[in-house]
Amino acid sequence: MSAHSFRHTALAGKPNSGKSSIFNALTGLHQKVGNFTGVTVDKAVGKIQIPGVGLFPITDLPGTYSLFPKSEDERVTTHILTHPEAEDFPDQVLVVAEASNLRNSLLLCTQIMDLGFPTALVVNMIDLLPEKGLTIDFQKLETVLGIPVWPVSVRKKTGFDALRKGIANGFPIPLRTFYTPNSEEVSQQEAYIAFLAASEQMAQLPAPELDRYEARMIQDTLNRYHAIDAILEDCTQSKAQNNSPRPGADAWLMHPVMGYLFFFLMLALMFQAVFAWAEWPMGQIEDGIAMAGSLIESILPAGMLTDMLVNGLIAGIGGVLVFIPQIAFLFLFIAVLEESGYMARVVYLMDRIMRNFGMNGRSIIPLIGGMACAIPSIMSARGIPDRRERLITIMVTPLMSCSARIPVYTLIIGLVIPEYYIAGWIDIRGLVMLGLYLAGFFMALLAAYLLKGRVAQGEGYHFLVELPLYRMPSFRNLSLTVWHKCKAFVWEAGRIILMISIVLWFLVSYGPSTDREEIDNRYARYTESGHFNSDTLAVQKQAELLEVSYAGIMGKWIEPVIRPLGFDWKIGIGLIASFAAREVFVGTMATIYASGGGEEDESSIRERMRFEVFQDTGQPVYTLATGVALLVFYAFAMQCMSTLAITKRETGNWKWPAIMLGYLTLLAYVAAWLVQQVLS
Amino acid sequence: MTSFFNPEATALHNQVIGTFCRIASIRSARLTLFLSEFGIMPGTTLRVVAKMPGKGPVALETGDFKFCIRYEDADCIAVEPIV
Repeated sequence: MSAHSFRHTALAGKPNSGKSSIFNALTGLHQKVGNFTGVTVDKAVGKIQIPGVGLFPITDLPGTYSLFPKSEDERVTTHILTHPEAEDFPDQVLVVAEASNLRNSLLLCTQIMDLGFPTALVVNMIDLLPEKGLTIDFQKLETVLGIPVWPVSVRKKTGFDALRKGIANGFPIPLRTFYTPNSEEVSQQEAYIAFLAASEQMAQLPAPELDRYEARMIQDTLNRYHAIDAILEDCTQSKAQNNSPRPGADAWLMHPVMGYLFFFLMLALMFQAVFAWAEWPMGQIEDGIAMAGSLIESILPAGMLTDMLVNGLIAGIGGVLVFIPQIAFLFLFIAVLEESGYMARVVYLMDRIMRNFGMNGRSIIPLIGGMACAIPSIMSARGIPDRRERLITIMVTPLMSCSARIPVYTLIIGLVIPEYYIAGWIDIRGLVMLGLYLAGFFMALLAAYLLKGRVAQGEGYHFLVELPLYRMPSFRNLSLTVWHKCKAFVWEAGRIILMISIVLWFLVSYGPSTDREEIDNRYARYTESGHFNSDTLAVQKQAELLEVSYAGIMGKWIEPVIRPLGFDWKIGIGLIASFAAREVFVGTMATIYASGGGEEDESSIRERMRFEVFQDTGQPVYTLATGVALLVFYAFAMQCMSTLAITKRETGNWKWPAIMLGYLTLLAYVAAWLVQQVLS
Repeated sequence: MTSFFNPEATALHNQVIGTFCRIASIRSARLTLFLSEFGIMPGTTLRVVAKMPGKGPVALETGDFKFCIRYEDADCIAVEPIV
């Protein structure tokens, strides 16, 4: 064991026992929490500050019911606890149990005790006990288990002082064991470590040996449950429960017809909020950005620096900041679904449908999460035990429209779809946005169906999803989730956009000097002649300068490839710039169109785009056909480097990210071309 | 599926929504292992909460633990009615 002040605690527990909430309460961090299985798919590390004692490291392990792993996330927990050489091997383990479901939580606790770890039990959600008619004698539980037991409530913030003190003092070695080793085995503890570690190689065992090993696992589990039932008989009391069926929210929310209806109503409400309700705060942000630009122009002298700040930095960053209200609404809705316990019901509703497409009900969590961001969603697919279903889910998750697409969708929808309300309040642009999300979802199903026959079948598994109690989402958790997601969006996107905006400003503002000199001289002659309006001349000159800029040359280079889709070279610049991250498209367009001079708010940029024409034909660029083709292109294209990187990490090689990039790019191109052909 | 041991036992998915039953036997060893980790084993009392048509999942409840399993797995679980 390490020194007292550096004692390393691991936090283990069954999924949805409130482990991450306790981790957050102890460390002051903001690890994601939710009311459904599989929120923590990777370990999280933090430190507990104990006044006057020191900082104690703590690791939040992925939730598991037992140390016999069934999925990738559960394997992380078993591996860390059974491999003393592992980097995060703890000095002591704090097991988190759910007060109203103690029985299921104690299996893992007894297994950890048998590994020889100094162990303690923290019983969470004790505030729900009176409501459930349950009482627990914690003193007696401590005595019969032979480890310290602390009752806590994260919601009511009770019991944490004693828990912190307990962690600082260190947990004792358990007084009781549950595993009975074979006579030839050296020690109980070593025998159990070896027994559990063998589960990692289960797939390689020959059939007779596998059968024997499984029989031992069953016997071990049944023995433990017999012991657990005896303990609970001794320490818990349940007031007479009404055994008659209790019709509740599930009678409606899990109903074969009403359940789907409610689910689709929830989604429709979410998209109305994202598009219509976010309009007012977006307008305020737009005004603020325009004011900031004007302020800088009025304070700083005209020149290269001011031009870079206003037309490069503020135009680029402002183009993304304006979408914060929409992103906040999206994350708020997803957080409500997760925190309330409804997400698990969606898994139940969708399993039968998803299986037709080579996925399972749990795939709906990455797919819905993909509407916020594909990166954590691809990681959350670790909870899917079957290899084939997991791989298919990972491969199609980027087709779900993530929050980074919102800026692109909003800009283009505002440009080509007229403002029109059905029945006086349903915004048609909101419906178009919903249509794009549905297009992504149905394309994900189609892609999954096609992949189903091409990915090797997994080893077979069983499916069980816990349906947690409904809980009123905590305002604090919701606000923290929305705040952290928006902050991460601005920070992650902001860094890329800041860099790209400056590079782009340079590429837009400069080009081969001979071409620029020729344009300067020509326009100087026009101005001297006095025959032309000076404002018109300035705009025309700017357009010609943009065409001969480095960015213009790049756009022209890509134009022959994208012209069949109805895209011009300026859109080409946007496509190249947004290859790393989709949201950069809007910042790029803002920088390109801001270089025309004048006010840089979103509506004026949109106006300039509306009047954009092809130089060779004089036809408008942003027609309905081109706008929808561009929307479809962004709905399907793989424009996110981080998603490719996380796919490589989750699949273990570059083959799958390469296939992902290839099929999504081809799909986006073909779909956009078809839309252009049909609508034009 | 019916149990060899109890002529009254029927497959779990045949139970009417809202009724209580007790697990008589589980046909597959791997399913027995899988369910045992959740404390579900022969003798466990279950209530059917909901069923999806078209061989969809079955939602069940034991004590305060509510969960759903697939039709194929429910087909391997023989249950006897609680009188």
